[in-house]
Amino acid sequence: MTRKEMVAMLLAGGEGSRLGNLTKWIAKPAIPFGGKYRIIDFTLSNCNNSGIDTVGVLTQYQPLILNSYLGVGTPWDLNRKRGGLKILPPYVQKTGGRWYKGTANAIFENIPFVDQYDPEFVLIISGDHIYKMDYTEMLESHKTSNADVTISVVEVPWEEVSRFGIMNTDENFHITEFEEKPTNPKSNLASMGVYIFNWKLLKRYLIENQQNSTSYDFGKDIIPAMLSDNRSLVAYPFEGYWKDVGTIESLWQANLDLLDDNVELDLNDRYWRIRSADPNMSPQYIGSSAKVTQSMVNEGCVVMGEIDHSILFYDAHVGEGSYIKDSIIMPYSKIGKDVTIHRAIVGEGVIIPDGVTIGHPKGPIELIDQNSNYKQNYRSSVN
Amino acid sequence: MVMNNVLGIIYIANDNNTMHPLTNHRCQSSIPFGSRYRMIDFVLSSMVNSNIQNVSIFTTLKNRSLIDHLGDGNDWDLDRKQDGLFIFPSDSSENSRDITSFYSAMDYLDKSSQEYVLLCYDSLITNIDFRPLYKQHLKSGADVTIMYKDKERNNHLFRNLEIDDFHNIKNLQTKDSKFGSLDIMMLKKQKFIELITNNRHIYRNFNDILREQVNNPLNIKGFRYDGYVNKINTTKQYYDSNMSLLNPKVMKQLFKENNEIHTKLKDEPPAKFTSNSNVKNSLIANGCIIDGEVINSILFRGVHVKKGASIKNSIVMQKCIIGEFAQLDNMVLDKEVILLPYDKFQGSEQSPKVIPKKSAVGTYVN
Repeated sequence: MTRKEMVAMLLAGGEGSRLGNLTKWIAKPAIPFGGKYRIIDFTLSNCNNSGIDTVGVLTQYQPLILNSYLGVGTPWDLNRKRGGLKILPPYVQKTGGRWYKGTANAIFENIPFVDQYDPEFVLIISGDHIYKMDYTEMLESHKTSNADVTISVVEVPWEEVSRFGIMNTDENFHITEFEEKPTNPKSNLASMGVYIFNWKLLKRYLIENQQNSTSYDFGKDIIPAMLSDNRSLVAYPFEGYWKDVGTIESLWQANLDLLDDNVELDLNDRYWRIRSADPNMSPQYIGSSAKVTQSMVNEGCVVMGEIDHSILFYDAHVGEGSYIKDSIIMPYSKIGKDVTIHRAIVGEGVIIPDGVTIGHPKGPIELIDQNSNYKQNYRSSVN
Repeated sequence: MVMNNVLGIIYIANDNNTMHPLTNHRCQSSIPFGSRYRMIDFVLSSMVNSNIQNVSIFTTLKNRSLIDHLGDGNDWDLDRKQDGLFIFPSDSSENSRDITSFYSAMDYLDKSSQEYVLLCYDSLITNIDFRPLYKQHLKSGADVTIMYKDKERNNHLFRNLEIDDFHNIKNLQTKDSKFGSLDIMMLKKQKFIELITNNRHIYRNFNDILREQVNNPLNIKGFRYDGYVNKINTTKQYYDSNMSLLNPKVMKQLFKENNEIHTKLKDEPPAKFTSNSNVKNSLIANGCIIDGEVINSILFRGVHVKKGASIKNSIVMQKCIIGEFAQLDNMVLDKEVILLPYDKFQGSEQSPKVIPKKSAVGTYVN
């Protein structure tokens, strides 16, 4: 095998249990986002745009749709002869099959995969986050600082600090302490779940962790172990849009963030394209009776009603006289005539009959999914 | 129906100067069409959707744009180890004949395993299933089967055919007929090779040979097609054909659920509409940002319509920028045209005007 300087390992096994029924049939990284994408497109596009051509994708929970979506990595230019995208599911061995028991265990189980490329560095990323980041700049910083591990951090609002893993650092961004979801935080630098390790060292810690522990997690086990050994852990401050869409509310909010006039996450940036598998839909048609304002609409959509501050994924249809506000309509959904929808996420392929009212202008976010009492479009992938 | 026994050929005719300036830099086949396609996508996708797995495209001189569009055929599922997409760029002068081009690809024709040839020319907008044509051709035992459609007698866009009650084509170029040839034909590959080999020195096109040999010795039958077909030879026809897509019935006939039109895919984000946008009866492609008014129009990928701008009855191709308060009516803008703020351009429905590719307006003289 050809030697690679850095191999990326993308953790995509997350169940996303706080996303309720949205993740009943699909893993969190495969959740549709931004009118056209799935969440994992952001990290895969970051890899591609950063020139990383070897990406192991660790899957576990509900992998069917994710696996068929990823294929051999063609949409992200990761269909390479040497390296490229490889799906790494848990597998059965002589001694029986086993699930990945944690993030560190997932990498431990795939040490032979990484070793094939004999890399100096390993980039650990997750398929759960929405952001645009150049990993090569982070690698340069990792090399310059001579760190054992570099952890990307982002400033989060102080009132949300207790949701994150927080890094306490000295003035040179050397990490002195790691606190998972602290109640009395000393810093607001949250770990983004993006790590660059020196591979030989990480391998040693993974093997040790495997032998001596019952918990196998980067945040809980590997990072604290390295800290207590006085290894050099350096924080890499990231500036820009970064979001963990862990809940229905944050998924809804992150989608609608894209509609701001001064949008932080620019999808039209030609120099940092977010790539995705394109189902090749016919052009979108905005009808004579339609009104579309402050919204994003994808190919395949047919809009005859009024759409305000909302996102329509591909092949969503909206009938005459319908009004959709502050909502997200996922692929293949068919909204009938004279339907009113406020503050809702309509799941993939849901068919809403004429005249229905969903949500309230000031109400909580409603999730209308495959388990609601509505029929399902046969074309959607989550039947 | 084993369509992998059929080899598809698309011949791209020479530029006849009736579509300038759209064909200044490209052949007709690669003119953008219908918000996200190129003209060739329709016949090519029809072949692929009919399960034809070996397709050759014979191009004219202005082929850079077309070859870039086709790539390795991946977007049509034609990137194959065996068969797939073959491109034969023209190496001769502009007034060459199709037979010369076909003859120069004799090795390819000979080596291909398929027994039948489906020959198409390039200017059709349609979504045809070719399997019934193949079926009839096998059954009838004709030497050649030509696809035709019913038309108005005075419509001379299509070649007039004389056909008897038994589908026999008696004449390939009558003065007046209610049957128009689509110039889509099926014949045995061996017969095709024989015809081009025997006639390679005569200054004739393939259609002329058929016209001369119909009845004797060739038995040529017709196959009637009643689906949607649009032929484009002039800018006005191009304009009308695009605009007809705003009719949902036409859209339905052209973009069928299980026979999609394939095209080169781009990673453009969904179209973005601001709070000022006012869009009615229009096709909008991804990557567009619309801050103005778009009515009865077709926008291609990545068009920016700035605040206060107004586009009516127009076709605006990829990456055009329509400046603030600029106005367009009955216009065709080729790719990457920049309209300055308050620019105003008006064509008419009878003769829509074209602004050539990459013009920065101000330098463009109306």
